[in-house]
Amino acid sequence: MVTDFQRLVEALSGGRVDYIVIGGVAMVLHGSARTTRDLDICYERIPANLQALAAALAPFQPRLRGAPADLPFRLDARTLRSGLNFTLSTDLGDIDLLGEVTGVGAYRELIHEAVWMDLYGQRVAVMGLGSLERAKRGAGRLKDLADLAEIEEIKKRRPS
Amino acid sequence: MAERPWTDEILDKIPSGVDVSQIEECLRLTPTERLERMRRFLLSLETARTPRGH
Repeated sequence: MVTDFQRLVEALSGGRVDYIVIGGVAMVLHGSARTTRDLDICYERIPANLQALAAALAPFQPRLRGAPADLPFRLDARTLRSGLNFTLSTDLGDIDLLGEVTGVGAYRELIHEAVWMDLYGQRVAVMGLGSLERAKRGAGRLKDLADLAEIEEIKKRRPS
Repeated sequence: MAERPWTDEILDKIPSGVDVSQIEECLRLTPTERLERMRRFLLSLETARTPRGH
């Protein structure tokens, strides 16, 4: 299934969730030609936002990705407070919720370097290229090295 | 002077393999168009993978 990014973004932004688009989709939004199947976001971990995030995703049956279908799981503010990072499947496709990004930090660190973009008519915070670079260096997997090379090329070509 | 990250040493030794023409094409689009372009590509792959009659 290919994720319905538009409906997910509309649900999150319409639900007044404080979030930053990170990962592969952030790369694509900055101009990368790579592909990714899921939406990764870093979310603010204050109680009101945990409530808003759970409410925004509730209509789309969020469930733990790869977990047995009969495993009881309910995404609510309490569940979000008890964990940090969640890999979920929803009726709109896959979404990863990260409370913290390795090598960069949490929402409050990321938001300072985030770039605001118009996405499907919503004003959305997207992880900045500098933060993406640090995250990729922190992760250090082969695909992250490929992304680093692409970030370099994007930086050379983007309008200043 | 700060020590260079170990990843830079690897990057220096391998060709980037980055298709810059694709990046230049993407940079001419709006963010929404970039994401939709990728999504359409994934959907076409999915269609191609689905056996006929299913």
